[in-house]
Amino acid sequence: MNNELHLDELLDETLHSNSSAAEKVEWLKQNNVSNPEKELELHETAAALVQRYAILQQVTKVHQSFLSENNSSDSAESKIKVVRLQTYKWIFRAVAASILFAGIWFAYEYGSTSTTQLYGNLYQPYGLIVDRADAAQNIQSGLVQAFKDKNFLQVINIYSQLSATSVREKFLAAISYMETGDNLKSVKLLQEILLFNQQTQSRLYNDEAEFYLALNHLKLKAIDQALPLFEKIHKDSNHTFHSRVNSGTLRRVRWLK
Amino acid sequence: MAETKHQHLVWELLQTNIEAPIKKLYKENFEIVVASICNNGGNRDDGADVFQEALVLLIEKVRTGQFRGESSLNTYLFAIAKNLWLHALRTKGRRSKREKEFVMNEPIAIEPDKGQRFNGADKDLSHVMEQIGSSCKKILNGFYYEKKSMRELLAEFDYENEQVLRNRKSKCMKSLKHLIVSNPALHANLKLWLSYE
Repeated sequence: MNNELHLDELLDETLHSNSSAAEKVEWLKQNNVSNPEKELELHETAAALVQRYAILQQVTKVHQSFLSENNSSDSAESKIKVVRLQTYKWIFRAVAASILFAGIWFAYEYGSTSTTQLYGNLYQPYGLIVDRADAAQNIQSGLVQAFKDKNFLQVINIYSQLSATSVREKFLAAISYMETGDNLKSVKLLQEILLFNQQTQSRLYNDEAEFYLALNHLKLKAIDQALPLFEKIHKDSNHTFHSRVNSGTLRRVRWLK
Repeated sequence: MAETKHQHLVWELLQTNIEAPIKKLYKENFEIVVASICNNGGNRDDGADVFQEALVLLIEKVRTGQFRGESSLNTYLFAIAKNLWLHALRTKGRRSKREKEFVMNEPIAIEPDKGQRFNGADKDLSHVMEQIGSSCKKILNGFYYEKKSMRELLAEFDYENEQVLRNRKSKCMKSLKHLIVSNPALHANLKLWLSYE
Protein backbone atom coordinates (compact mmCIF):
# COMPACT_ATOMS: atom_id res chain seq x y z
CA MET A 1 0.00 0.00 0.00
CA ASN A 2 1.47 3.36 -0.98
CA ASN A 3 1.76 6.19 1.51
CA GLU A 4 -0.88 8.38 -0.11
CA LEU A 5 -3.48 5.64 -0.07
CA HIS A 6 -2.63 4.76 3.50
CA LEU A 7 -2.95 8.36 4.61
CA ASP A 8 -6.24 8.71 2.73
CA GLU A 9 -7.67 5.67 4.44
CA LEU A 10 -6.48 6.79 7.86
CA LEU A 11 -8.13 10.15 7.34
CA ASP A 12 -11.34 8.49 6.13
CA GLU A 13 -11.41 6.53 9.34
CA THR A 14 -11.36 9.76 11.34
CA LEU A 15 -14.46 10.92 9.47
CA HIS A 16 -16.44 8.02 10.89
CA SER A 17 -15.07 8.48 14.38
CA ASN A 18 -16.90 10.26 17.18
CA SER A 19 -13.62 11.32 18.79
CA SER A 20 -12.71 14.95 19.32
CA ALA A 21 -10.45 16.79 16.91
CA ALA A 22 -7.59 16.57 19.41
CA GLU A 23 -8.08 12.82 19.79
CA LYS A 24 -8.13 12.40 16.04
CA VAL A 25 -4.92 14.36 15.67
CA GLU A 26 -3.31 12.28 18.40
CA TRP A 27 -4.43 9.09 16.70
CA LEU A 28 -2.98 10.26 13.38
CA LYS A 29 0.30 11.10 15.11
CA GLN A 30 0.42 7.59 16.52
CA ASN A 31 0.03 6.36 12.95
CA ASN A 32 3.06 8.40 11.87
CA VAL A 33 1.12 11.04 9.93
CA SER A 34 3.18 14.17 9.58
CA ASN A 35 1.41 17.50 10.08
CA PRO A 36 -1.79 15.74 11.23
CA GLU A 37 -3.74 18.94 12.04
CA LYS A 38 -3.37 20.25 8.52
CA GLU A 39 -4.08 16.87 6.92
CA LEU A 40 -7.18 16.36 9.02
CA GLU A 41 -8.55 19.83 8.34
CA LEU A 42 -8.00 19.53 4.61
CA HIS A 43 -9.49 16.07 4.42
CA GLU A 44 -12.61 17.11 6.34
CA THR A 45 -12.93 20.17 4.13
CA ALA A 46 -12.66 18.14 0.94
CA ALA A 47 -15.20 15.55 2.13
CA ALA A 48 -17.59 18.30 3.20
CA LEU A 49 -17.17 19.98 -0.17
CA VAL A 50 -18.21 16.78 -1.94
CA GLN A 51 -21.29 16.46 0.26
CA ARG A 52 -22.28 20.06 -0.19
CA TYR A 53 -21.85 19.79 -3.92
CA ALA A 54 -24.26 16.83 -4.05
CA ILE A 55 -26.84 18.68 -1.98
CA LEU A 56 -26.36 21.86 -3.97
CA GLN A 57 -26.86 19.99 -7.25
CA GLN A 58 -30.23 18.66 -6.14
CA VAL A 59 -31.37 21.89 -4.55
CA THR A 60 -30.38 23.86 -7.67
CA LYS A 61 -32.28 21.45 -9.90
CA VAL A 62 -35.47 21.77 -7.84
CA HIS A 63 -34.90 25.52 -7.46
CA GLN A 64 -34.73 26.10 -11.20
CA SER A 65 -37.70 23.90 -12.01
CA PHE A 66 -39.71 25.46 -9.16
CA LEU A 67 -38.94 28.97 -10.37
CA SER A 68 -39.74 28.21 -13.99
CA GLU A 69 -43.02 26.50 -13.03
CA ASN A 70 -43.93 29.37 -10.75
CA ASN A 71 -42.97 32.00 -13.28
CA SER A 72 -45.27 30.55 -15.92
CA SER A 73 -48.19 29.82 -13.63
CA ASP A 74 -47.68 32.87 -11.48
CA SER A 75 -47.18 35.41 -14.22
CA ALA A 76 -50.89 35.67 -14.93
CA GLU A 77 -51.77 35.20 -11.29
CA SER A 78 -49.25 37.77 -10.15
CA LYS A 79 -50.62 40.26 -12.67
CA ILE A 80 -54.08 39.69 -11.23
CA LYS A 81 -52.64 40.05 -7.76
CA VAL A 82 -50.97 43.30 -8.73
CA VAL A 83 -54.24 44.60 -10.17
CA ARG A 84 -56.07 43.45 -7.04
CA LEU A 85 -53.49 45.06 -4.80
CA GLN A 86 -53.68 48.26 -6.82
CA THR A 87 -57.47 48.24 -6.51
CA TYR A 88 -57.32 47.53 -2.79
CA LYS A 89 -54.71 50.25 -2.44
CA TRP A 90 -57.04 52.81 -3.99
CA ILE A 91 -59.97 51.60 -1.91
CA PHE A 92 -57.89 51.87 1.25
CA ARG A 93 -56.74 55.32 0.20
CA ALA A 94 -60.32 56.42 -0.45
CA VAL A 95 -61.48 55.03 2.90
CA ALA A 96 -58.53 56.64 4.68
CA ALA A 97 -59.24 59.96 2.97
CA SER A 98 -62.94 59.73 3.93
CA ILE A 99 -62.02 59.01 7.53
CA LEU A 100 -59.56 61.87 7.49
CA PHE A 101 -62.09 64.30 6.04
CA ALA A 102 -64.73 63.11 8.52
CA GLY A 103 -62.23 63.63 11.32
CA ILE A 104 -61.33 67.11 10.10
CA TRP A 105 -65.01 67.99 9.68
CA PHE A 106 -65.82 66.70 13.15
CA ALA A 107 -62.88 68.55 14.67
CA TYR A 108 -63.94 71.74 12.86
CA GLU A 109 -67.58 71.37 13.87
CA TYR A 110 -66.70 70.55 17.44
CA GLY A 111 -64.09 73.25 17.72
CA SER A 112 -66.13 75.94 16.04
CA THR A 113 -69.42 75.31 17.81
CA SER A 114 -70.25 78.08 20.26
CA THR A 115 -73.50 79.47 21.61
CA THR A 116 -73.04 82.67 19.58
CA GLN A 117 -72.26 80.79 16.37
CA LEU A 118 -75.13 78.33 16.83
CA TYR A 119 -77.50 81.15 17.77
CA GLY A 120 -76.51 82.95 14.59
CA ASN A 121 -77.21 79.83 12.52
CA LEU A 122 -80.62 79.17 14.08
CA TYR A 123 -81.88 82.71 14.47
CA GLN A 124 -84.47 83.95 12.06
CA PRO A 125 -86.16 87.35 12.55
CA TYR A 126 -89.81 87.23 13.29
CA GLY A 127 -91.87 89.10 10.72
CA LEU A 128 -95.52 90.01 10.63
CA ILE A 129 -96.25 88.93 7.07
CA VAL A 130 -99.90 88.24 7.67
CA ASP A 131 -101.85 90.28 10.12
CA ARG A 132 -102.87 87.62 12.54
CA ALA A 133 -104.56 90.10 14.79
CA ASP A 134 -107.66 88.94 16.41
CA ALA A 135 -110.15 91.73 16.44
CA ALA A 136 -111.54 90.36 19.62
CA GLN A 137 -108.21 90.96 21.37
CA ASN A 138 -108.25 94.69 20.67
CA ILE A 139 -104.61 94.88 19.54
CA GLN A 140 -102.76 98.12 19.98
CA SER A 141 -102.27 99.11 16.32
CA GLY A 142 -99.37 101.41 17.21
CA LEU A 143 -97.44 98.48 18.69
CA VAL A 144 -97.97 96.33 15.60
CA GLN A 145 -96.97 99.12 13.28
CA ALA A 146 -93.84 99.83 15.29
CA PHE A 147 -92.98 96.11 15.11
CA LYS A 148 -93.56 96.07 11.36
CA ASP A 149 -91.25 99.08 11.15
CA LYS A 150 -88.67 97.16 13.23
CA ASN A 151 -88.79 99.94 15.77
CA PHE A 152 -88.35 97.57 18.68
CA LEU A 153 -87.69 100.23 21.30
CA GLN A 154 -91.00 101.82 20.36
CA VAL A 155 -92.71 98.45 20.71
CA ILE A 156 -91.23 98.03 24.20
CA ASN A 157 -92.25 101.58 25.10
CA ILE A 158 -95.85 101.09 23.98
CA TYR A 159 -96.02 97.64 25.61
CA SER A 160 -94.76 98.96 28.95
CA GLN A 161 -97.55 101.55 29.03
CA LEU A 162 -100.32 99.00 28.48
CA SER A 163 -102.39 98.16 31.53
CA ALA A 164 -103.59 94.87 30.03
CA THR A 165 -101.82 92.87 27.33
CA SER A 166 -102.85 90.17 24.90
CA VAL A 167 -100.76 87.14 23.98
CA ARG A 168 -99.91 88.76 20.68
CA GLU A 169 -98.72 92.01 22.27
CA LYS A 170 -96.73 90.04 24.78
CA PHE A 171 -95.11 87.97 22.06
CA LEU A 172 -94.19 91.00 19.93
CA ALA A 173 -92.77 92.67 23.02
CA ALA A 174 -90.76 89.53 23.83
CA ILE A 175 -89.28 89.51 20.33
CA SER A 176 -88.52 93.20 20.66
CA TYR A 177 -86.69 92.61 23.92
CA MET A 178 -84.77 89.87 22.21
CA GLU A 179 -83.88 92.09 19.29
CA THR A 180 -82.64 94.80 21.59
CA GLY A 181 -80.50 92.35 23.57
CA ASP A 182 -82.60 92.09 26.71
CA ASN A 183 -82.90 88.33 26.61
CA LEU A 184 -83.88 87.93 30.26
CA LYS A 185 -87.03 90.05 29.80
CA SER A 186 -87.75 88.24 26.57
CA VAL A 187 -87.49 84.90 28.40
CA LYS A 188 -89.86 86.08 31.09
CA LEU A 189 -92.57 87.13 28.59
CA LEU A 190 -92.24 83.98 26.48
CA GLN A 191 -92.49 81.78 29.59
CA GLU A 192 -95.65 83.68 30.54
CA ILE A 193 -97.17 82.94 27.11
CA LEU A 194 -96.38 79.24 27.42
CA LEU A 195 -97.81 79.12 30.94
CA PHE A 196 -100.94 80.91 29.83
CA ASN A 197 -101.41 78.51 26.90
CA GLN A 198 -100.93 75.57 29.23
CA GLN A 199 -103.54 76.88 31.63
CA THR A 200 -106.08 77.79 28.95
CA GLN A 201 -105.47 74.82 26.64
CA SER A 202 -104.58 77.35 23.97
CA ARG A 203 -101.80 77.22 21.38
CA LEU A 204 -101.69 80.88 20.42
CA TYR A 205 -98.07 81.76 19.51
CA ASN A 206 -97.07 78.58 21.32
CA ASP A 207 -94.66 77.25 18.65
CA GLU A 208 -93.12 80.69 18.22
CA ALA A 209 -92.75 81.14 21.97
CA GLU A 210 -91.01 77.74 22.31
CA PHE A 211 -88.57 78.40 19.47
CA TYR A 212 -87.61 81.92 20.53
CA LEU A 213 -87.45 80.91 24.16
CA ALA A 214 -84.97 78.17 23.19
CA LEU A 215 -82.95 80.75 21.23
CA ASN A 216 -82.94 83.12 24.22
CA HIS A 217 -81.71 80.34 26.51
CA LEU A 218 -79.01 79.55 23.95
CA LYS A 219 -77.93 83.17 23.87
CA LEU A 220 -77.82 83.21 27.66
CA LYS A 221 -75.76 79.96 27.58
CA ALA A 222 -78.51 78.21 29.54
CA ILE A 223 -78.03 74.98 27.56
CA ASP A 224 -79.90 72.80 30.07
CA GLN A 225 -83.02 74.93 29.45
CA ALA A 226 -82.52 75.29 25.71
CA LEU A 227 -81.91 71.60 24.92
CA PRO A 228 -85.34 70.20 26.03
CA LEU A 229 -87.09 72.86 23.93
CA PHE A 230 -84.99 72.10 20.84
CA GLU A 231 -85.58 68.35 21.38
CA LYS A 232 -89.33 68.92 21.62
CA ILE A 233 -89.32 70.97 18.38
CA HIS A 234 -87.20 68.30 16.61
CA LYS A 235 -89.52 65.45 17.68
CA ASP A 236 -92.68 67.25 16.64
CA SER A 237 -92.90 67.13 12.84
CA ASN A 238 -95.93 69.46 12.95
CA HIS A 239 -94.08 72.14 14.88
CA THR A 240 -93.79 75.42 12.99
CA PHE A 241 -90.03 75.46 13.50
CA HIS A 242 -89.42 71.71 13.06
CA SER A 243 -87.38 72.23 9.88
CA ARG A 244 -85.07 74.64 11.73
CA VAL A 245 -84.00 72.07 14.28
CA ASN A 246 -82.40 68.92 12.83
CA SER A 247 -80.34 66.19 14.49
CA GLY A 248 -77.17 68.14 13.68
CA THR A 249 -78.55 71.10 15.63
CA LEU A 250 -79.28 68.90 18.63
CA ARG A 251 -75.79 67.34 18.46
CA ARG A 252 -74.14 70.75 18.42
CA VAL A 253 -76.31 71.98 21.30
CA ARG A 254 -75.27 68.88 23.30
CA TRP A 255 -71.59 69.63 22.60
CA LEU A 256 -72.11 72.97 24.33
CA LYS A 257 -73.16 71.34 27.59
CA MET B 1 -49.93 13.58 12.61
CA ALA B 2 -47.86 16.74 12.03
CA GLU B 3 -45.04 15.22 14.09
CA THR B 4 -45.07 12.08 11.94
CA LYS B 5 -45.01 14.14 8.76
CA HIS B 6 -42.12 16.19 10.14
CA GLN B 7 -40.14 13.08 11.12
CA HIS B 8 -40.77 11.56 7.73
CA LEU B 9 -39.45 14.67 6.03
CA VAL B 10 -36.28 14.53 8.14
CA TRP B 11 -35.88 10.86 7.22
CA GLU B 12 -36.32 11.68 3.54
CA LEU B 13 -33.58 14.33 3.79
CA LEU B 14 -31.19 11.71 5.08
CA GLN B 15 -31.56 9.64 1.92
CA THR B 16 -29.34 9.91 -1.17
CA ASN B 17 -31.96 11.29 -3.50
CA ILE B 18 -33.51 14.24 -1.70
CA GLU B 19 -35.35 15.95 -4.53
CA ALA B 20 -38.81 14.99 -3.24
CA PRO B 21 -38.36 16.50 0.26
CA ILE B 22 -36.66 19.54 -1.28
CA LYS B 23 -39.76 20.07 -3.44
CA LYS B 24 -41.98 19.80 -0.37
CA LEU B 25 -39.90 22.37 1.47
CA TYR B 26 -40.05 24.68 -1.53
CA LYS B 27 -43.83 24.37 -1.77
CA GLU B 28 -44.37 24.98 1.92
CA ASN B 29 -41.86 27.73 2.56
CA PHE B 30 -40.63 29.46 -0.56
CA GLU B 31 -43.35 32.12 -0.82
CA ILE B 32 -43.31 32.82 2.92
CA VAL B 33 -39.56 33.37 2.96
CA VAL B 34 -39.59 35.43 -0.24
CA ALA B 35 -42.45 37.59 1.08
CA SER B 36 -40.53 38.15 4.29
CA ILE B 37 -37.41 39.23 2.39
CA CYS B 38 -39.52 41.49 0.14
CA ASN B 39 -41.03 43.10 3.26
CA ASN B 40 -37.58 43.75 4.64
CA GLY B 41 -35.81 45.61 1.91
CA GLY B 42 -35.23 42.84 -0.62
CA ASN B 43 -36.79 41.73 -3.86
CA ARG B 44 -37.95 38.36 -5.19
CA ASP B 45 -34.53 37.53 -6.62
CA ASP B 46 -32.92 38.20 -3.24
CA GLY B 47 -35.58 36.06 -1.62
CA ALA B 48 -35.03 33.18 -4.05
CA ASP B 49 -31.24 33.26 -3.53
CA VAL B 50 -31.57 33.40 0.23
CA PHE B 51 -34.08 30.55 0.24
CA GLN B 52 -31.83 28.34 -1.85
CA GLU B 53 -28.83 28.99 0.39
CA ALA B 54 -30.91 28.48 3.55
CA LEU B 55 -32.22 25.18 2.27
CA VAL B 56 -28.71 23.87 1.55
CA LEU B 57 -27.68 24.81 5.07
CA LEU B 58 -30.76 23.16 6.55
CA ILE B 59 -30.12 19.91 4.68
CA GLU B 60 -26.50 19.89 5.80
CA LYS B 61 -27.59 20.37 9.39
CA VAL B 62 -30.04 17.50 9.10
CA ARG B 63 -27.51 15.21 7.46
CA THR B 64 -24.74 16.00 9.95
CA GLY B 65 -27.07 15.51 12.92
CA GLN B 66 -26.86 19.15 14.01
CA PHE B 67 -30.60 19.57 13.55
CA ARG B 68 -32.03 17.98 16.67
CA GLY B 69 -35.71 18.47 15.95
CA GLU B 70 -36.24 21.06 18.69
CA SER B 71 -38.28 23.11 16.26
CA SER B 72 -40.02 22.23 13.01
CA LEU B 73 -38.01 22.12 9.80
CA ASN B 74 -40.07 25.01 8.46
CA THR B 75 -39.36 27.19 11.49
CA TYR B 76 -35.69 26.31 11.36
CA LEU B 77 -35.49 27.04 7.66
CA PHE B 78 -37.19 30.40 8.16
CA ALA B 79 -34.73 31.29 10.93
CA ILE B 80 -31.73 30.40 8.77
CA ALA B 81 -33.14 32.45 5.89
CA LYS B 82 -33.60 35.43 8.21
CA ASN B 83 -30.02 35.16 9.39
CA LEU B 84 -28.75 34.97 5.84
CA TRP B 85 -30.72 38.04 4.87
CA LEU B 86 -29.54 39.97 7.92
CA HIS B 87 -26.00 39.17 6.96
CA ALA B 88 -26.66 40.27 3.38
CA LEU B 89 -28.16 43.53 4.65
CA ARG B 90 -25.14 44.18 6.81
CA THR B 91 -22.83 43.40 3.95
CA LYS B 92 -24.67 45.86 1.78
CA GLY B 93 -24.45 48.44 4.55
CA ARG B 94 -28.19 48.76 4.75
CA ARG B 95 -28.63 48.10 8.41
CA SER B 96 -31.58 50.05 9.58
CA LYS B 97 -34.38 50.23 12.05
CA ARG B 98 -36.19 47.68 9.96
CA GLU B 99 -33.34 45.25 10.45
CA LYS B 100 -33.41 45.75 14.21
CA GLU B 101 -37.12 44.94 14.25
CA PHE B 102 -36.37 41.91 12.12
CA VAL B 103 -33.87 40.66 14.73
CA MET B 104 -36.34 41.24 17.55
CA ASN B 105 -38.84 38.95 15.85
CA GLU B 106 -36.34 36.11 15.58
CA PRO B 107 -38.26 32.89 16.24
CA ILE B 108 -35.34 30.76 17.39
CA ALA B 109 -31.86 31.64 18.48
CA ILE B 110 -29.22 31.23 15.82
CA GLU B 111 -26.31 33.60 15.68
CA PRO B 112 -26.98 35.93 12.74
CA ASP B 113 -23.32 36.17 11.80
CA LYS B 114 -23.06 32.51 11.12
CA GLY B 115 -25.36 32.68 8.17
CA GLN B 116 -24.13 33.61 4.79
CA ARG B 117 -20.44 33.40 5.37
CA PHE B 118 -20.28 30.90 2.55
CA ASN B 119 -22.23 32.96 0.10
CA GLY B 120 -20.48 33.13 -3.22
CA ALA B 121 -18.49 29.98 -2.49
CA ASP B 122 -21.02 27.78 -4.26
CA LYS B 123 -19.84 28.79 -7.72
CA ASP B 124 -16.21 28.14 -6.79
CA LEU B 125 -17.24 24.87 -5.24
CA SER B 126 -19.01 23.73 -8.40
CA HIS B 127 -16.05 24.87 -10.49
CA VAL B 128 -13.64 22.81 -8.40
CA MET B 129 -15.82 19.72 -8.67
CA GLU B 130 -16.00 20.13 -12.42
CA GLN B 131 -12.21 20.35 -12.58
CA ILE B 132 -11.58 16.97 -10.95
CA GLY B 133 -13.44 15.23 -13.80
CA SER B 134 -16.64 13.22 -13.98
CA SER B 135 -15.05 9.95 -12.92
CA CYS B 136 -13.58 11.41 -9.74
CA LYS B 137 -16.80 13.27 -9.10
CA LYS B 138 -18.79 10.03 -9.21
CA ILE B 139 -16.37 8.12 -7.00
CA LEU B 140 -16.12 10.82 -4.35
CA ASN B 141 -19.86 11.43 -4.46
CA GLY B 142 -20.53 7.72 -4.01
CA PHE B 143 -18.10 7.44 -1.13
CA TYR B 144 -18.63 10.67 0.81
CA TYR B 145 -22.22 11.62 -0.01
CA GLU B 146 -23.92 8.32 -0.71
CA LYS B 147 -21.79 6.62 1.97
CA LYS B 148 -21.23 3.57 -0.17
CA SER B 149 -18.54 1.04 0.61
CA MET B 150 -15.72 0.40 -1.83
CA ARG B 151 -17.31 -2.95 -2.67
CA GLU B 152 -20.59 -1.27 -3.57
CA LEU B 153 -18.78 1.32 -5.65
CA LEU B 154 -16.75 -1.33 -7.46
CA ALA B 155 -20.01 -2.75 -8.83
CA GLU B 156 -20.77 0.60 -10.42
CA PHE B 157 -17.38 1.29 -11.96
CA ASP B 158 -15.26 -0.54 -14.49
CA TYR B 159 -12.16 -1.12 -12.37
CA GLU B 160 -10.17 -4.36 -12.17
CA ASN B 161 -10.48 -4.72 -8.44
CA GLU B 162 -11.19 -2.86 -5.20
CA GLN B 163 -7.54 -1.95 -4.70
CA VAL B 164 -7.43 -0.09 -8.01
CA LEU B 165 -10.59 1.77 -7.07
CA ARG B 166 -9.11 2.67 -3.67
CA ASN B 167 -6.03 4.09 -5.39
CA ARG B 168 -8.20 5.99 -7.79
CA LYS B 169 -10.31 7.44 -5.01
CA SER B 170 -7.17 8.44 -3.12
CA LYS B 171 -5.83 10.27 -6.19
CA CYS B 172 -9.16 11.99 -6.69
CA MET B 173 -9.04 13.30 -3.11
CA LYS B 174 -5.48 14.46 -3.63
CA SER B 175 -6.46 16.47 -6.73
CA LEU B 176 -9.46 17.89 -4.94
CA LYS B 177 -7.33 18.95 -1.99
CA HIS B 178 -4.83 20.49 -4.34
CA LEU B 179 -7.56 22.54 -6.01
CA ILE B 180 -8.88 23.66 -2.63
CA VAL B 181 -5.48 24.75 -1.40
CA SER B 182 -4.80 26.60 -4.65
CA ASN B 183 -8.01 28.59 -4.11
CA PRO B 184 -7.44 30.35 -0.75
CA ALA B 185 -10.77 32.17 -0.86
CA LEU B 186 -12.68 28.94 -1.35
CA HIS B 187 -10.59 27.22 1.26
CA ALA B 188 -11.30 29.94 3.80
CA ASN B 189 -15.00 29.82 3.04
CA LEU B 190 -15.10 26.06 3.35
CA LYS B 191 -13.32 26.16 6.69
CA LEU B 192 -15.89 28.62 7.96
CA TRP B 193 -18.61 26.44 6.57
CA LEU B 194 -17.27 23.49 8.52
CA SER B 195 -17.31 25.57 11.68
CA TYR B 196 -20.95 26.58 11.12
CA GLU B 197 -22.93 25.42 14.11
